[in-house]
Amino acid sequence: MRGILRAIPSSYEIATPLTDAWIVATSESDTTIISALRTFEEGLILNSFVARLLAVYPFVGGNSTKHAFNFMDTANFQLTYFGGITHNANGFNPNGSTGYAKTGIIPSANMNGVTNSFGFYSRTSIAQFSVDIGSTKSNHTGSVVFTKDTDNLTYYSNNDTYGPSGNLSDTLGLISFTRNSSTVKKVFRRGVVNFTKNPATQEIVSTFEFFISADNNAGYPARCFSTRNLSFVYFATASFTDAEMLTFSNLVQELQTALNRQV
Amino acid sequence: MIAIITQEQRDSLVGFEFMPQTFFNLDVKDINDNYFIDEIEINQCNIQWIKDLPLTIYQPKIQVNPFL
Repeated sequence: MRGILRAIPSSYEIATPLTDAWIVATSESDTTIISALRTFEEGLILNSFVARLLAVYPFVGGNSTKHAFNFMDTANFQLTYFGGITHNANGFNPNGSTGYAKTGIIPSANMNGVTNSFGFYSRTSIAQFSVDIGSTKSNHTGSVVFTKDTDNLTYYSNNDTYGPSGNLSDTLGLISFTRNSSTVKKVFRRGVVNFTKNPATQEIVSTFEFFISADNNAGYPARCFSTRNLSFVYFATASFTDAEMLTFSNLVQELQTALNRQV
Repeated sequence: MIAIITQEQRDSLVGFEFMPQTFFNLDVKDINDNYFIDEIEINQCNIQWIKDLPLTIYQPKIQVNPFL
């Protein structure tokens, strides 16, 4: 009788074309980084997150060239940096006075006005009057995130008018801002809903590109510069359910852990 | 720390990529309405006349926080 028992693989490999493209674009050779990205991409594929992610900036590789590429599409929405920024293995470190990044992502043209999500992985827990992702359409409207102001409140908008929304106990880990419908938007910290807000149904969608670590003040010079160390930024053209956001946050956390820069 | 620059010096740097994918931020002025280059930018660029500029402490313009 022939033995028929075979070891059942505990995991299986799937194609990771985004990581392949990333390697070609960045000439990345660090096996730790490549392995971390492949695992992250597998998670995106298995959870059907790929199609809704317009841009992902994983800030791996430690320099401005590698930190510029959009993991979801290396040919589009590359970051352009301005001012005082230090790049290292922990990601992107703006100086809080001049440093920021332009994304090329315009809410009215590239995002969805009713359902969307954007956010970042922060390694810095601070309260300051600064913007971490910002595209102001006009006075106090658009999509702008004052993550934790000096009064410890979050002021943000997502295609509406911005105002106070709640209090994040700290600003470490993945912080996400999701608009689930015309009347519901949520802020997640580490994949868990921190607070929910019911905006006006009217969508006020900015026509100016998103900046990272500063606000795009309706096309005027950038303002409200941040010192927050970011290790990951994403923009999604559809929202995430609460369960999906927890899964996504866990994938991002695993990516940071694999790179030994988790918080 | 920052280095104060003149309007002419500022204009000469517009659009100059001093590091891959990275440009000077030439839109911000200090409290005395001077254009300036941040010390990080100075260290990262390869322009000698910028590196020769004297450094001074950065004094930002007062930001008005509309929320407080």
